Amino acid sequence: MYYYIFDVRQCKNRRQIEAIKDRLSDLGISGEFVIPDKIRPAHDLAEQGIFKGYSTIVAIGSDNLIDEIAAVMLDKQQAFGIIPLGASENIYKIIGAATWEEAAESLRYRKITESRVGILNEQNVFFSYCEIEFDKPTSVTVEFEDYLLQAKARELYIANRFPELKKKDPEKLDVIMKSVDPGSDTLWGKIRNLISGTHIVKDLDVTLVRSNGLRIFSPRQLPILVDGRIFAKTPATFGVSQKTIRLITKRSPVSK
Amino acid sequence: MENVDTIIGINVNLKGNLKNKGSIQVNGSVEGEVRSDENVVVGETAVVKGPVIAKVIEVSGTVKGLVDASEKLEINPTGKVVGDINVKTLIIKPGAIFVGKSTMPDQAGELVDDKKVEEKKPEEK
Repeated sequence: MYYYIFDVRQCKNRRQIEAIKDRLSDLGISGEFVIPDKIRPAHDLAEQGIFKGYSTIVAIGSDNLIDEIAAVMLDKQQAFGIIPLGASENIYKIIGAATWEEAAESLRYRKITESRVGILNEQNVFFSYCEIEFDKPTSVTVEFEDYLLQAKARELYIANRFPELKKKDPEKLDVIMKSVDPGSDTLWGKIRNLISGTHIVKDLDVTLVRSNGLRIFSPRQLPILVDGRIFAKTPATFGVSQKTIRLITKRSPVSK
Repeated sequence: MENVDTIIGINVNLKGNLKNKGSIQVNGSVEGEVRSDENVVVGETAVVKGPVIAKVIEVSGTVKGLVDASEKLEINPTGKVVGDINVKTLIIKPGAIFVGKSTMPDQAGELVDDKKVEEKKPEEK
């Protein structure tokens, strides 16, 4: 009882659409295919699939589609599957599949993982991470429950799952920031950078904090991106969902 | 980065109380308490104004406040502690600066204090 929400625009060509459908049919997990559009957006289709009684709702597409459907799937009994197409590497890592073919097989030989998602401004859901876009280093204030951080930042990520960073606490977001050495703006700083050839020495500029909630402020509005798309602008609030999604991930190979 | 739970980067100012179960590394400045159930590393570029409390504490930067290490405190050559310390095992390396009172538990676990200690950098040649 599979219900596929298929963003066909992510397919390279018509042949790939058919290849995906054929593969799912071969695996014995064919079902109803629906295509989101402006009139019937993905979240409406997901609610429709749940209403129709399908046991598994599958997003076939990019991070944007996956995030949109994930928001509907919170606290639902139905399982949520993902076949990434045009999605970020991070999505592949989250479900444990390297290709769309592997992701399709994961749907057949399923393992359910109760997963939390990040929430931006109490409305937008993100599976992987949000990025604050800086056109130049900018002062930011990040407020947590017990303390606040102030820095001139050049990179800032708020991650539910960040590539290459092991998730330590599923109930917390990872906040990763790269700050700027104010001394580098001085003439001596510029000379020093030229000599050393690096902007900052030994990754001392990296900040990593784990928290279940935070607010970000900046003197001017900064765009907040998810998968290259602007979700919001600062100031913004971030948190982790208390509810979970029954996410289908790859089953570990059985050891002999 | 994998081994450390929290890192405060260089030129980052933290105001408030940073409490953590995992390890903390500070390279920026902190005004408030830094508390961990594991280790706290105060890096060379760090300045902490407030108490630092952990199992094991390593200071290569500056701490102005109480330092309470239930197991070990190590002050490296670039380290400076201005404040009292409560510690089981204390290592002060040559060149380190410590201004304050140190208190150590005796074998029964009770604190023994009143050792006024002041160490400064050895004379440079």
